[in-house]
Amino acid sequence: MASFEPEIVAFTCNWCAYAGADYAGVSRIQYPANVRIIRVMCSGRVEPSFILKAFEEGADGVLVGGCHEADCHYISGNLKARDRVESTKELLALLGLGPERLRIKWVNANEGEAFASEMDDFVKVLSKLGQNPLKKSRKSAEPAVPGFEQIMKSTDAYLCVECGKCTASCPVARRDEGFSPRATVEESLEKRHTEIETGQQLWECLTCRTCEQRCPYNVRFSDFIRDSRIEARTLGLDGNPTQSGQMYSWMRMMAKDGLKQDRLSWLDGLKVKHKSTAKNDIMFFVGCLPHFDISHRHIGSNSLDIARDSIAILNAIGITPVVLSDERCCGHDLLYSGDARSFKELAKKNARAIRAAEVKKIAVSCPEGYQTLSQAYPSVIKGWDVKVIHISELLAERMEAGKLKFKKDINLKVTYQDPCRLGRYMGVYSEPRKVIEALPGVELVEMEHHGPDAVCCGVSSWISCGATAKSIQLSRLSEARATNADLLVTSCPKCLIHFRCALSGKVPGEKDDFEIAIEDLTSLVANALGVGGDN
Amino acid sequence: MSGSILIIGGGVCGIQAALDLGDKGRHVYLVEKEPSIGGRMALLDKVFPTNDCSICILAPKMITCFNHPNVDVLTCSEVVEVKGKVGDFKVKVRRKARYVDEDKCTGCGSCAEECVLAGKIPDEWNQGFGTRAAAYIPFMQAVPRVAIIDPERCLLLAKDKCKKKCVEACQRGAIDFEQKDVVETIDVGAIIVATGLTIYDPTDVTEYGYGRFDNVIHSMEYERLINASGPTGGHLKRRSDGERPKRIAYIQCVGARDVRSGHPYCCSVCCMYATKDAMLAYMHHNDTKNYILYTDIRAFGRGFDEYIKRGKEEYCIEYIRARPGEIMEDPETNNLFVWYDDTESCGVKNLEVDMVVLSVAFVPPPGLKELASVLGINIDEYEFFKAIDDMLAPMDTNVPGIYIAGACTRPMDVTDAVTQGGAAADRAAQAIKEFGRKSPAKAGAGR
Repeated sequence: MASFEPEIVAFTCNWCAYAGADYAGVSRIQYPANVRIIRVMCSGRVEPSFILKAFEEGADGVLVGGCHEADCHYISGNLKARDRVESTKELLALLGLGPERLRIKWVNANEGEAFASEMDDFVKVLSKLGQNPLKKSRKSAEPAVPGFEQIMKSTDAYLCVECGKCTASCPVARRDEGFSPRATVEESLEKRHTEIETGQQLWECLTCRTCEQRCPYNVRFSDFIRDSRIEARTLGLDGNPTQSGQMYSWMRMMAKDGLKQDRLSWLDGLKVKHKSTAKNDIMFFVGCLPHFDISHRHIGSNSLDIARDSIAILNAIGITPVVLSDERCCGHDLLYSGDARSFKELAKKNARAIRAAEVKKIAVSCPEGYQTLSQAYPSVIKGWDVKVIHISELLAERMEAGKLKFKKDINLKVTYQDPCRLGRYMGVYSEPRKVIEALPGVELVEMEHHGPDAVCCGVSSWISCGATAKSIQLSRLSEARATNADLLVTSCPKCLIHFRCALSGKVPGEKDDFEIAIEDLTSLVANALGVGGDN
Repeated sequence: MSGSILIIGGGVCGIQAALDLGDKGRHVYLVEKEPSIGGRMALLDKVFPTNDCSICILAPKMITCFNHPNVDVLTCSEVVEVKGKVGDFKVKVRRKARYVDEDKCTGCGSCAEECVLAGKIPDEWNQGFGTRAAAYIPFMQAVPRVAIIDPERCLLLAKDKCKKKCVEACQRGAIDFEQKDVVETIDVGAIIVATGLTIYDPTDVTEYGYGRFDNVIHSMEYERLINASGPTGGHLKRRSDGERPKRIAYIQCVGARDVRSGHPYCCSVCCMYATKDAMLAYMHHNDTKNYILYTDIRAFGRGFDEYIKRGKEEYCIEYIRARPGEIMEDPETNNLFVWYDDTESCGVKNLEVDMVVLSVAFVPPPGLKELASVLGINIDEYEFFKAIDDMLAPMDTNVPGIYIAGACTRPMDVTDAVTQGGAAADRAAQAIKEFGRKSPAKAGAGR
């Protein structure tokens, strides 16, 4: 390791930190040559995705340099940068990369010395920490792309009669004239594949399967989009990812070798029981909940509540679940955004860890994890036959066996959002409803669109979050509001994030037309069982 | 050994077969499970492409058939067992009790008027739009025009508790609560199956809201509503408020050309009957705006294409090439919003109308599979009866002496059903003739 020279990426603001570094240079102040400086107008411009991308690409350390507090040329950009760096450090800790690899430093335009000494110190610390473990990850071969002929065959696109039922059903097409599933399939039939690959429409689809649900000829448009995105990615094309792709970054990092994650520290101090391995027992797949808890803290996602409540529920029904310290992201979002290689890597790593733990069944609280583990894994993992069950199904099973006793009255009128992956993909409609209706004092009222006709929460796989998404979300929330329910219950952490996000910002007109409390099913059940977060 | 022929199903196809055979001097048993013959056609208002009054052209056939000296019409009857082979079938027919003596009843309807349940039971002949009593005459032009008592609803038969007002009202003493179902065995030499069709229940197509929205109806309901002898006297009225709809959308291929519903086939008649329906609405009130939302116009018969052209030009029907994605309702006005993608000009639009008529698929009638196993004949993948050769022997089944005809073989219009009825009659008569020639004991065969 004597020859190890850490590589540092520094994002420095135009007005202070960059000028400070420049000052160090023109003053001939010596500092290690390990840093690559990227100038930004303000440290507030530095998004977590920039930092994560640097680590994903192998940087050993990242420094964000900005003006001293109260000196920011854009009033408070530096304070925003400080908060972001703090939460990104938490993500790095979760990933096992070490928060010490990320620093934020206020440097004035005349503080060349300060910049140089910060670099000296950073290089020393990084030298001790050693290389970014992801650097050593070998790059697996790019999986074979299906090719458009194959995509059309496997999704029955050839059967399309161009009746337009898909487009007329599509929540996106109703708001965005340029988007039309029918027109896209038509283009493919006319062999205008390049237009599909390079068009923005490819990234606007929610893959919510509403069109498929109604297509008279069972053309599987969501699969068509998923596979076409894989094609597009081979051309280096991408959609417009939420939070400029920070989620993809940490998902891709998990797909790499050499990561020593610290996934379980959120469980410290909680009164829930879990174990690391057990033959023929149930595992709880936590998924990205700890990460979402951090990445969407600004909208109050509290995603970890779902994980904690799920394990508490499992405990309450007599299950001590296996929770793996080296679980990875299931790969759903990467697969649906066209990164088939990383998806495959994640699937392999998860399969290895799950098989090693010898579990016989996986319980999930996230419908995307559910759909991916049960429907997508068999296509990439040979002999994958581990049973996967959504927590609502598990609860409904217990209820039917008369083995579920609720202790607390909830006394709420609630309505239920069917998540696309749980409903239209996995066909689970009745179980969550059975559970909700069994909760003491809970009355379930349905929204205008429910069951197979339910409307998507507006975003999928962190792509194309924008005006269309917000419009879908608000109209869905107003549907929920129109039921006069006190609470909108969902059973997908992403629905929860998207709806809470829609309400966290400005809305057109009266907020009262949309405002409704939103909770995950697990929180409601945990409360009724007397094991919720409040207990 | 018998020269008689059994026809199962008393719709227009079965009636045509019975008339053809009867006129040839063959004896026919016409078995109909409903209390009246006439089938689907008897309930239609007009028929395309001539816009003839349906019952006006059918009723004479129904009556001629019923009164034909060579035809025995057995209503309220079902075939329960078939044994034997061509020339010598032994058929068991369950004749369900009518609780009314067919010979005595004059069809005056007094029993129906006096029945304590009058106006309380939804009338299935009128697709649930009107009401009937427990004792009733199925519809105005029913043949035989004889009352029937519904054993499931009649208070006396179901609960043994009634004032028996119908018995008092009947001047002919025709009501007979002692009647029981009887199983008769008949000997026939050949069998024609013409059990017709039923319509697809659009409730499963949840996105169109049938059953949820009052003003979304299906095409058979429309036929009764626009029919002068229907429950509204031919005045088209919305279920929600009884108002006349001024904007009507007809949605094609509901449950047809649809893999999900299990009916990927084209019903071949809906383009035409929807056009007819729209013409009728326009004929009643020429301020009615009609929209037909279609997938493809399939007007293949003689005069059909011209019919569509007339629809456009003379009846101002707007044809829109789109299969709607969804129907939504305005809860205040009960008007409907039809969301569709205009595939010719592109773009998702939403059309506000007062009424939506779903052109529903023709599907095999309930009990077809059971009847197929009683007869030992094959069915196809959609559970219609299957001919041994669709092209060259479309009437013949895998069992010699048993023939199929009409809409129980595939969706078809009246013309085709009549043609097939005639063709099957010929095949059946031929079979008996050939059998008679081959049979050593031909003397005395037949009647």
